[in-house]
Amino acid sequence: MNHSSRPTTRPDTIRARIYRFDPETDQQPRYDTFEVPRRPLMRILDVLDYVHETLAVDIGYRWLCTSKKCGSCAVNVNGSPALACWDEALPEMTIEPLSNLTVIRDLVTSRDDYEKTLASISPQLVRKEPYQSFPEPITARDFAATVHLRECIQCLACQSVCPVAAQPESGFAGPAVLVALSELAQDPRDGADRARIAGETANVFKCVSCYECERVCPSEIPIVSEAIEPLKRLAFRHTDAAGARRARAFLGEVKRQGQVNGAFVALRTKGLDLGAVRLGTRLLRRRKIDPFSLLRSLLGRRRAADAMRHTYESVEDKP
Amino acid sequence: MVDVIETDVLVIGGGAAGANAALKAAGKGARVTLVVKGLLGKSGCSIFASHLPYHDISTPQKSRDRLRYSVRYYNHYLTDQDYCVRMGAYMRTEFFPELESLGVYWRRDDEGQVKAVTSRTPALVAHKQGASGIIIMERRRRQVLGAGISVFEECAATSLLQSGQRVVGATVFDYRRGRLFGISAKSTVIATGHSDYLAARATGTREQSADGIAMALRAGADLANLEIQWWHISDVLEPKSWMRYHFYPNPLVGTEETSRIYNSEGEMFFEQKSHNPTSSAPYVEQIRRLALQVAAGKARWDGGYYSGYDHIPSDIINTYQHQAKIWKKLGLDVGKDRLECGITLHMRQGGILVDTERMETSLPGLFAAGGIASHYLGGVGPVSYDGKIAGEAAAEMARAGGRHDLPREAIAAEERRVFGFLRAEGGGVRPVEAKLKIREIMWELGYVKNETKLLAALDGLLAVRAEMVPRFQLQSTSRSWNTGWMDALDVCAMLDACEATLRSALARKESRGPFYREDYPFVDNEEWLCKNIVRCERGEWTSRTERYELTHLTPERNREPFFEADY
Amino acid sequence: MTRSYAYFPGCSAKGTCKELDLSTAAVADLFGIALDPLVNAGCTGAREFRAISEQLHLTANGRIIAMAEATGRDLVVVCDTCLLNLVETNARLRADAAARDAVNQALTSEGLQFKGTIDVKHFLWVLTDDLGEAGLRSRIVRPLNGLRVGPFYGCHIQRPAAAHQRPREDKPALDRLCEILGATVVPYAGANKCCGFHVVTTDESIALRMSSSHLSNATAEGAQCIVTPCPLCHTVLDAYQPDMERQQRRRYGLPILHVSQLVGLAVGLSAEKLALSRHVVDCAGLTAYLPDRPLAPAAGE
Repeated sequence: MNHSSRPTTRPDTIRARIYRFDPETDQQPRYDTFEVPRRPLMRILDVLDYVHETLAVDIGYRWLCTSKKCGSCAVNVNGSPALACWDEALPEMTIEPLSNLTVIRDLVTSRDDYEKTLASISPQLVRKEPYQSFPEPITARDFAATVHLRECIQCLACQSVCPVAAQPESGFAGPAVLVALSELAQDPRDGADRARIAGETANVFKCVSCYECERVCPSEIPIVSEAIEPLKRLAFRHTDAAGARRARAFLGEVKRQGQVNGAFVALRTKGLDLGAVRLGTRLLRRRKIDPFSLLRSLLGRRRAADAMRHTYESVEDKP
Repeated sequence: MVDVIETDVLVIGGGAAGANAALKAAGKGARVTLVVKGLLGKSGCSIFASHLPYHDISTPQKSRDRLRYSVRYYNHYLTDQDYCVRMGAYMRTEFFPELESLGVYWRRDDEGQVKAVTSRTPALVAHKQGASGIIIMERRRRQVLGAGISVFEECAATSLLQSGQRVVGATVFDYRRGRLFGISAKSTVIATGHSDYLAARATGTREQSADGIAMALRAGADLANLEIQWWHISDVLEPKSWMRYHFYPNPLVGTEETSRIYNSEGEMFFEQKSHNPTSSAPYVEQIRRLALQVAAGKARWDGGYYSGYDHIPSDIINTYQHQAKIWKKLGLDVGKDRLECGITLHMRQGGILVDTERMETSLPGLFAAGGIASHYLGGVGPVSYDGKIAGEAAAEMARAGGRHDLPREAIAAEERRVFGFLRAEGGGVRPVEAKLKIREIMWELGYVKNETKLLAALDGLLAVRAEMVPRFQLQSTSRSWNTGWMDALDVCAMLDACEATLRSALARKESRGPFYREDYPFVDNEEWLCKNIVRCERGEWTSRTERYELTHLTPERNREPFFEADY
Repeated sequence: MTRSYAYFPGCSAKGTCKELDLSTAAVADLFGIALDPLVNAGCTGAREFRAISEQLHLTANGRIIAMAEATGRDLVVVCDTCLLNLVETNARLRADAAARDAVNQALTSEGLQFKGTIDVKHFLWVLTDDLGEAGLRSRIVRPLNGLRVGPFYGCHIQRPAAAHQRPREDKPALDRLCEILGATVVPYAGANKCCGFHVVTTDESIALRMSSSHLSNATAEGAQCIVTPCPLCHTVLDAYQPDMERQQRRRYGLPILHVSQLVGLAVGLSAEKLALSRHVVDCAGLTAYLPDRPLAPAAGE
């Protein structure tokens, strides 16, 4: 018999430093520290429950299912998102609300911005053909590419660490919304113009590919490679979003010259503006741009790259 | 005076029943407002749906098998059998197609065959067994939000408003902002669910404090079979918050095996496959067997026994079971390790008495759908059926009837009650202490009941009501997400609901299904094949019984020892 | 013993960060590391090929690896983004026979084949792991004592974690390197974060806001320079630093060094050899923190 009784080598007390902020009465947040006796296999939520129930402190925190289904309990622990019901309690914890979301009280944050953005991407299946009858003719293969995306519980951990979603003026929908969009876009039954929605509404090309979202996802979804990049590929093929133009310019450059001239890609993506002139002047002065190679880029292809160009062209139209 | 919103149909609750009621009412052209104490589709128990019964009803025999499962094993004959027939047909012909049309992916194999639980009680899963509710409710959530329905999340209904007996709306407490508002409705559907956090270990979640039962009780509705509460036994013991994580004893996808439960000496004492093959929800048999282990000193209600899937190839569990990730997270091997379990108070068969044609309650203008109603145990499919018929009937009523004036005095009284708790001075009792006390009382009462224990529990509740509630004192008078304030309101609902439950339990003088009284250890089909109805009017409790009509199936014996009954 | 690698410098080191190529060559030479550049190796695609076609991404990267395999040596890169593209492709093509076959079919016309026989490494790891602490120390003539360095790791050398199956380190390689060189590692918020390079050509202000906050944090913690293993991060942090100063209305003047330049300073290479003048932010002030002259004549000078 193999029961789980693992020896406890950790200290028997947990010190939880909890962020307290009431927008109604407080100018500044403060931190209250609590000593909580450790229980076996304790989760972060067990610590919060202890503070609320046994210590009878009215901390504001949100939880519903306690079993990694509803995604309502994510908080920051020692600076990084954690799902309170899912992740282990650490001996020393500073527990704060998720970053970049409006705080309602203490650890409770508003999901309103996310919901608004989600609504903007047409988040329901838009059927190509009217639904016929159950069971419809689909197979597991049709859904293999999105098997990980279906693990999303909308906890917004990814959304809270995304450096671009943190800038609302960017217009970037953020990883959680893109996971939902990508699942729909890769659904063979869906007929909405997901390319346009991805490229122009959700601004998928504003993803900086930093993988912070993947780092914090409690469901371990490969968000960049299985949600965002398929959307970029779709938008690349069907839209003229700036990111799609950049990718085209980039590939064109590589094919002509065998390598990329960054300045030239920027020029072809954005055109010449004051910023570009300023940057260009600066780079020329510091010999970071070689005017001759820029000129070469402008004038036709390099013969030595012919074989490589041929290889690229044999595959570039494949998915 | 509080703000008042006008609507045609008010839906209270945001699980599978409430969502479908709102959609179907809106589909009939009604203006619909939905209030949900948690988050639409995320709170309550619909999100816990594991796998959904998918019975073939194409022949009379198959249809009868389906009925047997619903009536005998799921509801122990405490249900309307004609309703079960109609609901079974709905599941097969409407529920699965509707959700699939929304985009829910009912798991297939590579050839396109639906990948189902293939035992005598077939079932389907969305994505994974144990994760179906997540997928279904997220699609429902988006559907409701996209359907022009006014949705108020994190807003708890606190009372039903009445004009005479007729329900004409509700007061609603928005606890994010700390404001109370009224909703004037031509008809109201209550759909607050069947699982409440009323015992120290329970599968009910934070927001589930039996508000629906309490509101209906205070409004004078008839409530039936409140005492028929299920306990689950294969729920995680530690960590404590994982008590809502459940190792399904039910048939599994991808294997003919089922999970096993072992006592402290490593002896296996339950597996569905051998001990309860005809029921896909073998919880009643499980706990009877656990009771024998506890009596023999080989398990405790809170631990000392174990469950797992270690006799099943781990790749099958990892592929099809949402729960498999628990082992990984704890650094254990699902193919080798077992986890310690404890019992949890789970769902309630009883609730608000309804007619099953239209889901009307004993109060005009009030419909009840899903787990909160008394006619059926629950499940995402059946409660969606309830939501559909309640929503359509409510829309019809709203179209036919006019608007009634809201009772201003009742609203003012509710405002005084709710805001009366918002004080930081007083008797020094934190509301959460009363909450824990109630949960402790109901846990102590537990599964094995008798009159003495029931009366002691009732005394305990009355003491909380008399001695703790008047002395409530909050830490803060803030209106933003004031946890203490929310606790105070929850306590009032819990007290009402638990008292009604205990009084119902005292009235039922037999044992049946999940309900075990050691002073009446027999199933009594002669006297107790009936609705056990309680009502409270102006502090006066009355009770009565009403026999079920056995239109299709009848138990073989009039009376049999509880531990020998096969259902 | 001479260490010998196939070398893929990438577009930055050949273009706007020529100083990276120059200083890498100088440092490699000093340590007796042979870096043989691949010829007509093309491009790893930055983040662009992935956004066009997965097949293109795998083929372009598989092609580079195959060219290195033909030399029988491990492949070294000096760019975080190139590293991730190649490391991920290497793992994918080793594990996924169908993907490997498709790539090899495309490579047939050039007589190349991906076999999965070599590893892809960052030059940083060549220094810290292959050469090792003792090897590094043997050449230090001007320990960077007193120099407060803020490391800026870059995303793609650390994330996604699944791609970088390196032995668990209790300290990042870059921190270890700085300490071996005698510098003081300055921790600051943002050292692990993103510079924003991959949107800088389309949405400059997004990247500027991100990176200016890293500069502010590093400055506030007293960093005298930043060192980064990635030329793309370098481009944002250095070439766009005047734009950040304009956006944030403050002056940073924070020199941004490549790893090879930091090592070069400690082993006594001249500012000229390290091409420090090819930066937008002036690095002249940095040498003030170092001893006036080498403790002993450095080989290669």
